[in-house]
Amino acid sequence: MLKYGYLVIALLLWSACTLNQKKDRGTLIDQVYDLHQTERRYTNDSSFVFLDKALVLIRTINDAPDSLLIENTYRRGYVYLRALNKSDSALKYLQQTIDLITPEDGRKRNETYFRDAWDGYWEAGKYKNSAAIAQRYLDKPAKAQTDVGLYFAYNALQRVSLELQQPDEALLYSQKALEYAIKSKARDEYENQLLAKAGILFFHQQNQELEALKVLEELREREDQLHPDLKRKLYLNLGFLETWAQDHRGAIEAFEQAAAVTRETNHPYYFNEDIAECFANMSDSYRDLKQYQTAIQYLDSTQYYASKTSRTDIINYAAKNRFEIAYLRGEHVDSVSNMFQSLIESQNNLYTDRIKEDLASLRALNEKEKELLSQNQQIVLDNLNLSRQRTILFASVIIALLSIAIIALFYYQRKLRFDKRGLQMQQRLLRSQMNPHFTYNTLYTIQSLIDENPEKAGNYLVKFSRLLRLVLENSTMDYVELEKELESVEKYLQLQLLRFSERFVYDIQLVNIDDDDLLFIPPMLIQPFIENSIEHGFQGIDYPGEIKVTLTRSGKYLSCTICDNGRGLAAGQNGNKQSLSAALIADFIEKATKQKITIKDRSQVTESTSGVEVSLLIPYKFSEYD
Amino acid sequence: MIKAILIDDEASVRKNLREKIDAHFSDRIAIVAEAASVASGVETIAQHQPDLIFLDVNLQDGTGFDIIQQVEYKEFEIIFVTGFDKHAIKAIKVGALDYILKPIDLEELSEAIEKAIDNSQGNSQLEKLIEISRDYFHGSKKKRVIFRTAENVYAVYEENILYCSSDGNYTTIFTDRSEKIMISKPIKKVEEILSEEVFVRCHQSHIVNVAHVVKYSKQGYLVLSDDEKVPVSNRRKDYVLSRIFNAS
Repeated sequence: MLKYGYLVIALLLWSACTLNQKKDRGTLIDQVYDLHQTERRYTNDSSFVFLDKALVLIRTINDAPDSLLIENTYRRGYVYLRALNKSDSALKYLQQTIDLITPEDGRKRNETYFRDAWDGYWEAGKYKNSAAIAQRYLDKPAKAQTDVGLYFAYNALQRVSLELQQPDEALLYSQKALEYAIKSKARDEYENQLLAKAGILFFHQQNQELEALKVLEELREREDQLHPDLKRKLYLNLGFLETWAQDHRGAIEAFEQAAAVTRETNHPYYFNEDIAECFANMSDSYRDLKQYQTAIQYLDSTQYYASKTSRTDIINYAAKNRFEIAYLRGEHVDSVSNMFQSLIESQNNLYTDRIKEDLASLRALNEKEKELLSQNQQIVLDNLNLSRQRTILFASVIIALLSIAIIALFYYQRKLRFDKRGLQMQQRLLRSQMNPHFTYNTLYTIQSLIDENPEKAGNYLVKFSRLLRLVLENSTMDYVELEKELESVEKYLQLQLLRFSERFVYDIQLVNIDDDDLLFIPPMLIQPFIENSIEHGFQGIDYPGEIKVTLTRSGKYLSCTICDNGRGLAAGQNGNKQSLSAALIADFIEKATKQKITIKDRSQVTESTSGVEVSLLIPYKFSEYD
Repeated sequence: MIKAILIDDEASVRKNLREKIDAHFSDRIAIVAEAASVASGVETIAQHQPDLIFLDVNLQDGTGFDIIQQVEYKEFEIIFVTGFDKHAIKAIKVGALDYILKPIDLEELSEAIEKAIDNSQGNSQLEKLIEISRDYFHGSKKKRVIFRTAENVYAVYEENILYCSSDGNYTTIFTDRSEKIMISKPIKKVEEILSEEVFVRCHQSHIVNVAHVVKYSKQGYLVLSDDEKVPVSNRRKDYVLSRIFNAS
């Protein structure tokens, strides 16, 4: 029994150890997704906590999909990209991400990785790297590319070429970008690219102004559907072209339209800047038209709006133009000097304000950083606590389960031991009662014989001594060999035959038991029932008695029937004399086999027969040591 | 007429035995003398040179075995007469000798006498048998047992027996000298005369010498020192293995 107990404990321990590993692949992958989702909601450092966790998980997954690791690497890069001054780290991970993508991998998500990578390089001023990434996308097999992807790649190459002072290549890439923008039916992208192309033609090529104008005209045809920002840029560019064409009225009109679009959009961040840009250009045009007063008004407005932004270039440009106009108008030295004085003052104020602003924003930033830091620490702490709590909970559940199992096992074993001991005690009690009972019964018989037939009595006594020897030998043990027990039963029957001289016959049958089988049974269970049959069942009958004992092995027990053809129960066969031993045996058998002894009157089964049939189950073992 | 001597230290037993023999076997057996001790027994045997001796095992000044060792004349049959003494009975059985129990049962006496008369055509090994029984009775270290076949009587040291295998009423004893001794006894009777500490009944029809077992194979048999295989019955496996491998 103890063996099974250990088995249970071992099983528990084993399952405890493997519980964590046993999660299937699907759940693990889902967990990685969850971590990625959670990561999005956090900033910088705490993001890395989740990404690290995700990485550990990914490594435990057998043959994890590549996309998991790629996404994890990308996210790391992306987190750095979002952060300030971390572009080196960002680019490192973005480059790793790109390196992990196989050329054949055509997932849509890859395009995000590529775009962030080349844009990242572009923004960091590493144009050649940016171009290399874009080129890598172009080198992918056609089925791993999309038209949109190709558009963006060519767009990136176009931008890079401009930065590298290669306007011809830029134009070429621009053309390609336009092609793929059409193919992919990406309207916004197409229009953007048109504007870019016009910019290249106008600003970077020689004598291509008319071409540029053509492009802008094409864009203008789509005016109604243009994005406001694009529309604004379109009018700005048109204004530049008109200026180039010396059509100052037309230019002013275009810039006014640009300003109108800007007002319409009223973009919270760019409004001042954009409007200042328009006014500066308009001022230029008015200056060229020699309408100095209007030009000065626009310059003042330019300065006013520009001062609200960080575009010092516009402010400076406006100041420079103001002096230019003063010069052109031939203004008085004093007025110019005053202008210069106020310019310096305003510049000073601007700087002071800017410094104050910077300080304030720095302070705010600092505060925010601190807040973020503490937030991050809290998150890390929470995570730690959570996992520690989980471990403690898990451990305590296991310990509790184990203790319960051990206690249960202990009690179960104790109960078993008590049961066994109880049964043994009962068996010994049974024997201690049976032996004298049997002995005295026989001695009474001998006593009565001595007077009738001394020689027969002597013979009887010898047989009795043999039987007694066997019974005594058997009684020292809880279980005896079946053969020995049957020998004692048979000796008893022979003894009785001697006494009643052939008044009955007996038969002992073994079913499903081989001669060689070594079976052990508790002693002295059968004899009392036989005694009952002879002493009471056969009392006063005028026909030969018959006793049949059958032992059948079936499963865990020997099924035993003792059947006689005596007077039966009604005639008092189960007399008071036997009740003690019968009760003891019945009690023992019931405890040992969980089955009651059945005692039937045979006449109740068949009218023509008489007698008693006793059936009981007898426990057996294969060795006396079991 | 068979000359018989009764040697027993209890007068009542001698009287009872004499009465029974006189009443039922007087046509064949004449009791020529009685003795009550080792010393008087030796003397009486020398004097009467009997054909049959009824011999008690436990005498006041020694044992029945001692008497046989001391006498020179050995041309007789012995029927041991003993009380309920397990050790003595086993000693007699180990020597393949015959015995009856006290108090004397007429049927048992009759059987023993018939057997003695049958055997009396020369029993040259008597001295050997007695020696083995005596050794056993006195608890000698190296135990021997007697196996009687139709032709021979074998005295085998228990330690030399590898295993016994039975086929119904015949049992074959295999020794480490490659002897095979087949006797007409069921394995149960063989088991009775072998030492419980040395042998284990590992199977319905097999007894094995624990000391000769090398290993147990999961296929359900024991491998012995001479590569012989002996089956283990499934139901007795646990008991058998604990006897063989946990014995310390």
